[in-house]
Amino acid sequence: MKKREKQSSRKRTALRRCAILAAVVILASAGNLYNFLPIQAVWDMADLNDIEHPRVVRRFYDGTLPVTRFALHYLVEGDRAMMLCVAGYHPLFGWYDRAYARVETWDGAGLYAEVYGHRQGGAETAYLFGRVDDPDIRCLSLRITENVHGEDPSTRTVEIPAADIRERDGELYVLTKLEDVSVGAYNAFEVLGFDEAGLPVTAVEAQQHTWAT
Amino acid sequence: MTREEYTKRVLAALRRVTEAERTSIQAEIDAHMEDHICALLDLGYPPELAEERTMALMGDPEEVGRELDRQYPLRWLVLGRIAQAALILAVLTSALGLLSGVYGTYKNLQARLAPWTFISDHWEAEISQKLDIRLSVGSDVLRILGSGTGKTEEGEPAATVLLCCYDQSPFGYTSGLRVTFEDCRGQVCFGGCGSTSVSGVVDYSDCQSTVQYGDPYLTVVCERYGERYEAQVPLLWEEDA
Repeated sequence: MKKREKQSSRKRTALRRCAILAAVVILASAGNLYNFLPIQAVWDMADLNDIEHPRVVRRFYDGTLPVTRFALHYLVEGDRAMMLCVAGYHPLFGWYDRAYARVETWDGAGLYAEVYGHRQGGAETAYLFGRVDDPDIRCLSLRITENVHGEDPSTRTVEIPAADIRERDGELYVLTKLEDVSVGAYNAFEVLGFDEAGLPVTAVEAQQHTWAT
Repeated sequence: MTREEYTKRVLAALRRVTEAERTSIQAEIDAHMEDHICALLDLGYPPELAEERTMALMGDPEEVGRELDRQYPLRWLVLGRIAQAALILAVLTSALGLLSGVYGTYKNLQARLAPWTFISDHWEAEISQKLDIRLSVGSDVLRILGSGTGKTEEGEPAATVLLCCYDQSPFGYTSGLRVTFEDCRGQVCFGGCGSTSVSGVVDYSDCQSTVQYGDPYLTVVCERYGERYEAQVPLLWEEDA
């Protein structure tokens, strides 16, 4: 009597293929061959920017620029620095580091801030991000000096909406999109912190990090 | 009804099977009927009766077909096909990633094991002594490969330091450490660096700094989060050589 082969059931075949797929994904991810998840690109950017023990504070989508239409923005906190970064996606490369800006947060100052800008063609996006450590600070405003090195610099101040200052795990983070603002060496940014009575507490110069695609 | 007709009627009732599964089911039914017929033949049944009894025992062919069909749920076929397509895609993209990943790891290992194979002849010509001084700075390694002495274009004595920086993990990225220089009197030295970054994995730098003739060493300083990392780089002047 001919010995019959044990036929693989559909369920067994499907599960075996899923297991092999999981093994390939894990090996490729562990070996940094292909980033299947955006968080892997975030970890790469944290490594690039010396952000220790990166933790995602916020994740959001902003497809204003063509280059960020298949991308996610992340606000990331580390032990002694934080960054705003963009993880982009390409089918051939997976999730990769698209853009980032970093601010150090180790020196005990009550307020940390950085401006991130990204240009592509005629479009531009800009964000102010940072952290508020001084418990006396209740609200923030941003002073923008345009044409800072020119003959006739102009200054304006914008309030940072309270909704853009959010608490997460006991820390106050700032993340606000800057409208009608151009980021570059010809502009300067200063973040002002005020207490409940509206009196100034502190002011810090926000460095800028711009990208052009 | 013959065996072939029975099998054909069973297969006709199958709606959710693939061609391979249909062939497999046909072989299974044939084998099962063959086994049973052989058993009846061994008991002395004539072949026609054995075949007839076997088909009667197996039951209504359409009912057999429907019952078999239920054992092939569509969801597992769909999941299996999706997993197969995803697996092909994952292997292809991983193969592409393998190229850049292997390149990055290769460059990291090159910086660890054989950095001078990357250094250009022009940079090597500026070095009068090869060194191997390593500083761990965060997750990076700052490696001082060599030093040299000479003069700037203005005729001022200058020192050259060759550096490379790479991640401690062969799969990691370097943060691109920024270094400054101090002379043996603790004064900050001024100069400039020419750098080459290899895919964000390794940075090589050739830095020139003004010093005083005869200074025995130059201090390479790296500041990171308020912490100071430094190393003394010995300088070899012509009269010492």
